[in-house]
Amino acid sequence: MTDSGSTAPVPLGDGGPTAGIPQDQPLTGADGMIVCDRLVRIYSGDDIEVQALQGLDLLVADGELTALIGAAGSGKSTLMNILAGLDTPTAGAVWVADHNLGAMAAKERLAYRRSIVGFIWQQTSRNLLPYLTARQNVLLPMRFTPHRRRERLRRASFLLETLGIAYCADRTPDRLSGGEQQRAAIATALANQPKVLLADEPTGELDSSTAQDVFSALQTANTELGVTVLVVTHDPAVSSQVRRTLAIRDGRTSSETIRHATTDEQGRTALHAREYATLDRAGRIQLPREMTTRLRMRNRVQLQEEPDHIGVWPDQAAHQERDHRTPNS
Amino acid sequence: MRTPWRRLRAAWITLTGTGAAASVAFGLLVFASVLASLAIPRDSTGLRTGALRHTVAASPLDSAVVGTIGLLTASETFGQSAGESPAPEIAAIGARLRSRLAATGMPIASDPPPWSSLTSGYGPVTGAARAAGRGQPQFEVTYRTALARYSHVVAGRLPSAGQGATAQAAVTTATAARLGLRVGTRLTMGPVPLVITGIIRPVHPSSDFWTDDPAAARPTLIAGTSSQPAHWAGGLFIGAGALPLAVSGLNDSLMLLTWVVPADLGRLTADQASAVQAGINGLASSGLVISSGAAAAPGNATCPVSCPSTTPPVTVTVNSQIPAILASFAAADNAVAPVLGLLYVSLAVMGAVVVLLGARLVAQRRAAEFTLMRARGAALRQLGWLVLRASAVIAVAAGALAALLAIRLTPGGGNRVSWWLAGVTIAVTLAGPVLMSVLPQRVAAPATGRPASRVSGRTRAARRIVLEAVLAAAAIGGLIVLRKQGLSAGNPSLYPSAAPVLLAIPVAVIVLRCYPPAARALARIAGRSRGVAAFVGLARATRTPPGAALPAFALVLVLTMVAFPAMISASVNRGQVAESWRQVGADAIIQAPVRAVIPPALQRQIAAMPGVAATATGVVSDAALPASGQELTAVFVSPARYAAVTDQAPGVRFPVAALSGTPARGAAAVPAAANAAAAQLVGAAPAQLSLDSTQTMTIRVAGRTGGVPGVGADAVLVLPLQALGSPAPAPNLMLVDGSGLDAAQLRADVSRELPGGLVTLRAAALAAITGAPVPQAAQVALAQGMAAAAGVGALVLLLSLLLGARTRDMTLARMATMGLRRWQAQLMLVAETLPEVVAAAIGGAACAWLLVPLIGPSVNLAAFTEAGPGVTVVSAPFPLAAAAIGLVVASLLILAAQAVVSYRRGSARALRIDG
Repeated sequence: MTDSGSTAPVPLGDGGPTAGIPQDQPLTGADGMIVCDRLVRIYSGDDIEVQALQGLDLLVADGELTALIGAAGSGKSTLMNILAGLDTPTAGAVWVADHNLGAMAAKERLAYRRSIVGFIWQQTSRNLLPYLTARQNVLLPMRFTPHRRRERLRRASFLLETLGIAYCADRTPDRLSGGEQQRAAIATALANQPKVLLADEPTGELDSSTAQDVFSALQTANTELGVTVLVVTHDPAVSSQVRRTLAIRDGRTSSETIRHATTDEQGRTALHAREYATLDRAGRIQLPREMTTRLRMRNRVQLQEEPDHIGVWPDQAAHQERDHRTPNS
Repeated sequence: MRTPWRRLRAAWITLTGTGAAASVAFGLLVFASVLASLAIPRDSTGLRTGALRHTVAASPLDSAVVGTIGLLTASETFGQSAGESPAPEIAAIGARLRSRLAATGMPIASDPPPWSSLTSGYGPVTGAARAAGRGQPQFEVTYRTALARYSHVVAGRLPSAGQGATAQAAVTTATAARLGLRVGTRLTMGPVPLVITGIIRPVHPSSDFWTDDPAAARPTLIAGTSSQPAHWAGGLFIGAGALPLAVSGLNDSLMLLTWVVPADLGRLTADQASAVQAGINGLASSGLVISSGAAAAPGNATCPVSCPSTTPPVTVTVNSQIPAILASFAAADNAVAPVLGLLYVSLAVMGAVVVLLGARLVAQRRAAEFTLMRARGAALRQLGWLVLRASAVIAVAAGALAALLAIRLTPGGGNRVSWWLAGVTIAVTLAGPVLMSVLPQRVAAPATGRPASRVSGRTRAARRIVLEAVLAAAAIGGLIVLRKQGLSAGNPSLYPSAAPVLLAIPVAVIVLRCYPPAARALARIAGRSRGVAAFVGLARATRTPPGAALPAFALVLVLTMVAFPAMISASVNRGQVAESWRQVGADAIIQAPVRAVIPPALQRQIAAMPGVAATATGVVSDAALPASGQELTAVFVSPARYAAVTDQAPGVRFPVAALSGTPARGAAAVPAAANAAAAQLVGAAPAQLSLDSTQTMTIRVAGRTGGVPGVGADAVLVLPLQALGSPAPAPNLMLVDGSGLDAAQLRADVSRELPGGLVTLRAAALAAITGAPVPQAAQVALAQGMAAAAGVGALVLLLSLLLGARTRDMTLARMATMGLRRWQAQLMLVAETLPEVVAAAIGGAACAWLLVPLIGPSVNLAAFTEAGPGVTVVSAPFPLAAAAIGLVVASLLILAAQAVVSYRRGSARALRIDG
């Protein structure tokens, strides 16, 4: 259910950048499964405040498989916890599957966690109850909902088979490999047919081969079950396989990479990636640090409007002044 | 294929989740708590009941309730028509009386059984043998129920129940022999013809049936008067069939209706004693009022005697010596009740704390599991149900086993309080884990293993201050209110019972506030040294973990409940010894019979006996003050030797200096030590003293003394033996000092050398005091309570250490990877844990110390010592120190065990678990 206030929502395209949307209009979308609008999360300690999210904007379309990357402390996990309904934003708005997470009461939030989102954590041991078998773990979330027993069993078997772990359905987690545990965790997260699957570094503790299995399971969930997947990862092998990768820096989305496949005349498929800087709704972009360093861009830049683009130039006057002061450099 | 055992195990694990091991520990705690809450009060009741039965058995008083309607004519009593038997009405009133007595809780004896009687006044009887020189025998006609149970027919038969023109009667063998009666003898009493149908012999001859009216069992010789000569008076037992004839024929004779209900006080429990005493007292004061027609049971020939509505209600006068029998027990029991009450209330609170700590252990172990479930969409209600299901299985199983064991261990100790306590324990068992598990999960959190908290540290600190201040203020306020109300409202047991718990709250708050700064100071000192173990341990100790208040409160209360009863026990022991000294005055006293003296040989024998430390002799003489004619007792002793023996006793020291330097006979006034009564009689000025009317001397009171051992007189003077001249007369009193003397040999020597001599031993007096039933039972209950408190203390320690075990293991494992040695790990554990335990020990000791002035005045220990009022609990450092040291030693032992377990488990596992 959407609670977008009195202002009419602005329709979105295919989940691309949000530039051009006026600041006085809320960011939402007819087909946006995840919509974050100027999201702020501040943690207050005894004497300090930490801004984990500093006005983050994000759009993920329905059925999309998106990777989220960023350095430690950039706000990835905070964002995931907010999207999972386990944390609340300090300011801004967030919709997931038309649910306004900022306006939900505790009871609605509980129902949201049960049916709308599934979550997978990095530590394999914390995704599953150690004393239950894989099947029982998958059944567990369904026991919180009024599903019938037969329906629950059928769903659990289907998920275990779909994710390729039916053979270990009756094993407890201590008798499962790391990859099997994470696939069981994905099955558990998908138990109540969520619309969104959130995975916080699901391959972080796994070797590359096992990580590929787990990522395949996520892709299966996305393609076969139609679940929108948002996965936080540090694994380049994972992020390079998704069509869209978002980078978060200092609590904001800084850039995103769109990949598309092309097929040449011999029928060979090649994946092409193009990185975009994110233009937020205030018209701000974050220039990649390697570019600003190489071009010695500091403090201010010159903008030059051209008919089909905007040129960004280093501040020449400042350069000359610096060169004049340091003749040896 | 899964075996049943594996299925059971799987079901158990599914039920208890990740807290399976903790649940077992929790089950053991529930078992121990329910067992304690049932067994201790039941055992205490058993001990008190034993004391009651001891008291009852030792009492010479009659244990029956007697109801009477006396000295009325038969028509006044029943207003019946001629020819109708009042027997049903007598039975109905007896049933009412028994019913009322049973309602008080009095156990009614079945052997000998209750009985009732209707007895006429004495009247002359013709037909009986008339002894020479005696007047005509007189008989009373008595109808008694249960005659067959109380008699054995020697000849003939008992009177029949059928009516006839001649009343059938039975007499005892003694009556028959004395008055020449035999079966078939015909008698006439006024208009009533009688025939003897049976000769009976009493069964239960010491019962009320035969002793209540002695003439009924055996004829009594009535002394002659001016109007009639001496004559024999006896009893004729008639049957129910003869009652109409007797009642109508003896209408003008005064009738006595009696109902006797023997009590089986051997079945009375201590908890019932007060109700029985009060119930019988109530009946005795108001009587049993029988309204018109009410005596006849409905349907029971409906008022066989005519019961016109105009007949006024009659009152059965009730008498019994049972209240007197129970009074001494009730007084002692009421006196010790506050002491036991404070123990039991505190034990109940400690038990609840232990169960809550166990619940927290379970909640802690399952926290990650519940956090994951919450994140996956479990509602609080669903979590609560999961926890309740697991704890219910554990509580019911452990509780049932504990109840069975408690009943088996303490048979016959029925106690309603114990079942209430057990019920409360089970309720805490069920509610505790639910609250402890669910409350931290109010806010769903990422599955990090820790419940979410969105409250800043500053807010938490402020909340803690407010909570502690409120708790402390409420506790102190409660203490003040209870002290005022409890002492003034006639309910003295309420205040001392609640006081330890209330006092432990602010003390625990102070302990929790004071020990972290102290630990920080120690950590700073340890930080300057090269060693790392003590520093790390103390650094960990500076953090007050959330929820540390509960164990700290429990430990303070535990120490209080070990130390305070120990101080009570020490005070009781001192009081009992003091009372034995007050009663006897020396370890042994030998008193010669009147006009006899203790032979020198016997004196030497006694002085040489093993175990005798010192002896003193004295001459006890009757004396008088000629000036006033007042009589008193003079005791002539050797002051130094007398002081050496009697100064062992607590109390007033003998003024030996005042009596030394005695003038020779005939010189100035003889100095005397006087007790209070004698000093008042003699006055301050020198006075003449006459001894046995043969000797006179001038005396002056030079000092004061207490009582003189072996001399029971009110006014006693102690004078130097030299005042009697030389050679001194032989003594008739000998005092012996020596706690290890051989009592049997002493008695044998005295019996042989001084026939009729009296030996009094202080050890015997002390044994009588300490062996008194109620104080002894109370002492045992006190010791059991202390042991239980110590056990609870060990559990609290164990649980509080278990609660921190995981993080402690982690720290140890991390330190081990840095090269920490085993002994250093143990030192670290000690440094971490000991400050809290020492702080709790200090707090508990302070609490116990404060309790002495706070509730000491409310706890009179006179009932323990059989002394007069004024024996109160006194602070004693030894029990305090022993309890505090015990707590510290216990915690060290538990820590050592944990270090061993942690070492065996290895650091790799701890690190893996945390990861």
